Amino acid sequence: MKDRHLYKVHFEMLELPIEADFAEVHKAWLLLKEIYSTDSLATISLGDEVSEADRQRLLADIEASYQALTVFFHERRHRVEDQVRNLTADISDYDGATLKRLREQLQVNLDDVAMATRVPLRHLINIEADNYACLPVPVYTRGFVVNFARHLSLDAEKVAESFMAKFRHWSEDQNN
Amino acid sequence: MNNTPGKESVIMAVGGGKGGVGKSFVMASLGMALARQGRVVMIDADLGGANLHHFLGLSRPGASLTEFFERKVPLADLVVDSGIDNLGLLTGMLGTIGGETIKHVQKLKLFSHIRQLEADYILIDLGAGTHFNTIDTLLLADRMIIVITPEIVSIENMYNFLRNLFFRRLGSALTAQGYRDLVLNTWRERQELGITTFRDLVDSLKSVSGEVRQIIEQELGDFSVHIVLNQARTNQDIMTGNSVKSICVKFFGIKALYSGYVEYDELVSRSVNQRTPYLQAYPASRCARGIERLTANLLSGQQVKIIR
Repeated sequence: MKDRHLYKVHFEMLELPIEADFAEVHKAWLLLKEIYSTDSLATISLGDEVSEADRQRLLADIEASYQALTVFFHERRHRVEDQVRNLTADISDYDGATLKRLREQLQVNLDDVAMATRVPLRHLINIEADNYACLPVPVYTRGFVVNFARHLSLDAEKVAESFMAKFRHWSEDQNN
Repeated sequence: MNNTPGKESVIMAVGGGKGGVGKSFVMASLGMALARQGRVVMIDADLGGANLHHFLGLSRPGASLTEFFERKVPLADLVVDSGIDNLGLLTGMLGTIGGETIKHVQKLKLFSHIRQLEADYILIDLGAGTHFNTIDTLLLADRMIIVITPEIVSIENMYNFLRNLFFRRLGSALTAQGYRDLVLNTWRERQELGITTFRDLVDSLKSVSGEVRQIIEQELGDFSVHIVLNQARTNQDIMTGNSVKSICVKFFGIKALYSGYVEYDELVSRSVNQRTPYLQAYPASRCARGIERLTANLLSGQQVKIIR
């Protein structure tokens, strides 16, 4: 969060809180460009309050802030990806415990995962605990694992394949 | 009800801008929505024409604020039952005693009595226009609400009102610190100083001295308005509220929140004529849902989420 404060003016320019993610930044940029590059009810009503030069300057500022934040998110993504590459170099097998450990090493909060992926928190908890008995049918569980892994910038296919193999084993054991 | 002694009530006021944009409808509906959560007292302080009661499906109440001023009747005794649980109404009718001329002292007295009313939420409906009575009362509220419709006249009025609102507040703050008439005098010399916009005026004032700059920054920092867009018919109308908010932030440097929009519904005027509160008659309408979202946003400080 500390590095985000350095970008405070840019988040403010886009009328976003500094916690905003890149999708929100992108959306706000499109919206503001639209507001200030075309005449709308809201801008016409301003009358003499704003000159054409002011408007162009503002558009340039909005663009500059968007560019700065794009670089910020890009670099951050690279940093995370490097970190993930190092952490996962020796891992070939992904069970819930491994996912939990990686998540903690990446300092990601499980509530935030639930919020961002829209996977119900209890399912995430059950995935991390390898609590197969409480997980839904494979087609759903696989989707949850993919979203979870993707959120942690992991190789989602690899993680899902590995996790689902264990899930399958467990189901077969139950049936025998 | 939920009101424990000593607990501060939240005062929300609407005012200014253009007449007929739906201030009273929005406030009456907001009052009904809030009454589900706590004790609400609504005050109709529209100087010209008090008409809030119509939106609650009532006839004009007998008791009014006139009695408070003329016969010193306690404010709480003038609150009449609205027929809706948890919702009391206090009618203005200040016009009859020459509302335009209430003295500042009387206004302050009225406001300190308003603060003492037993309620969780107090909603004040002020008239349109930029009369200083309206502005001063609005400035005393915890939440200042401005209602607009997606029309040029309404939006232009709103910008104008916002400028007046902020300079009135800044004027009082500066006067209190010994800078009487600074805003007015600077404005009078606007041609010599090359001031054409709100921002120019603020910048010019800031350059007076470090102390003035500090006062202005403090005032701008504390100042916020809640924008409500009424009578939205299209998605573009809904977006207009967001644009207006953005402009307030970018060109006026004023913290504005786009707290909600209410969709246009012909049944609003019909329910007024039929003397049934709209929210009671059509609780599941899109318009009613807009009111509910607005209510939640006003309490939480959240804003309209633009989905495209």
